[in-house]
Amino acid sequence: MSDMVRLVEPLIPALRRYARALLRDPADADDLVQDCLERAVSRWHQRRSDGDTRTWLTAILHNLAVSQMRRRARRGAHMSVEDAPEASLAVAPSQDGALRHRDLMAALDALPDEQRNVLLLVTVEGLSYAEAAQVLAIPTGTVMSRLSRARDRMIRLMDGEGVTVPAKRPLLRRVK
Amino acid sequence: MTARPINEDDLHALVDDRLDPARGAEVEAYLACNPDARARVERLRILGRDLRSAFAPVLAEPVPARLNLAHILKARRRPRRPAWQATAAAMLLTLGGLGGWALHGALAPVPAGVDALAQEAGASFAVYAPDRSGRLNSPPATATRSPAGSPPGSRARSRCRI
Repeated sequence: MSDMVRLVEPLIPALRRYARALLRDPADADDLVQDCLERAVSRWHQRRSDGDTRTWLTAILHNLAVSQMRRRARRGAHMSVEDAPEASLAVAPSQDGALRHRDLMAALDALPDEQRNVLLLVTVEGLSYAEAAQVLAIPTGTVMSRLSRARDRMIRLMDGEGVTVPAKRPLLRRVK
Repeated sequence: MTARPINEDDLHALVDDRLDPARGAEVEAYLACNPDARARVERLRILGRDLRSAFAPVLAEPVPARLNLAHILKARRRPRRPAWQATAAAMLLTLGGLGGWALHGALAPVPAGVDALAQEAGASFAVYAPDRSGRLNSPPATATRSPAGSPPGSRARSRCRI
């Protein structure tokens, strides 16, 4: 168990970051990481000893997030205060960084889940294409095509159609 | 020159730093004479930087106590003890119950007070009631006097009292 602490503990901040990027709500994200760590502790002996610990942990976190988002979608979308239009209007126009951040988050929200997951794993978490493919249980070629589509869409939303992003953002997202 | 054509995946791999050096040099050479592709790669890099910096503050936050692995490991070990204790308690209760039931017969209470009187009365009835001759009941002294009967006065008195 001591090698588990040695291998897993340094990865917790990155797990929190990925959970936060997926769920956005800090408390929900930490709940997810806690579930992930508890599962990792109970299944530590089941993991492949030659496998990468980070990929293994990220896959656990990802699967938990997917089932949680499915439950959430069934209940109806949860809208946090930051997502509400009033809150975004309250950001002063002079705060260029804040506006840019809001546009970025809005564009990220507008992505289909499958594209957002790939984009976050590769760009923010720095996973290789093969590692991302393993986490998501999809072929590497699919990772590449989703990544390309996700980036194109983000750039289009932020640069070209930025104004229409809030209107286009659906409250209920269908999970296929 | 039989170089492989540069494709979209190469541009992404360049941005993500996933190209081997030889291919990287080819892509860089291609970008040098294709300003559009260069601008696109630059835009992809900016997007990556923006996304990373948007979520970077999470890494700097102190990890909450509930995500401390040592606590999670401890919490996982703890439930085992109450379960063990509960089993022991249940076994003791069962043993006590069975033992009590077994001892119930052996340690039947010794009668005392009114119970003792009632038991004695029952025993006396069982002994004396079938004795119609009265032989058991009469002490030797009264036995000599009884054929003569009681004085008539005493019988009348007792009748009057009723």
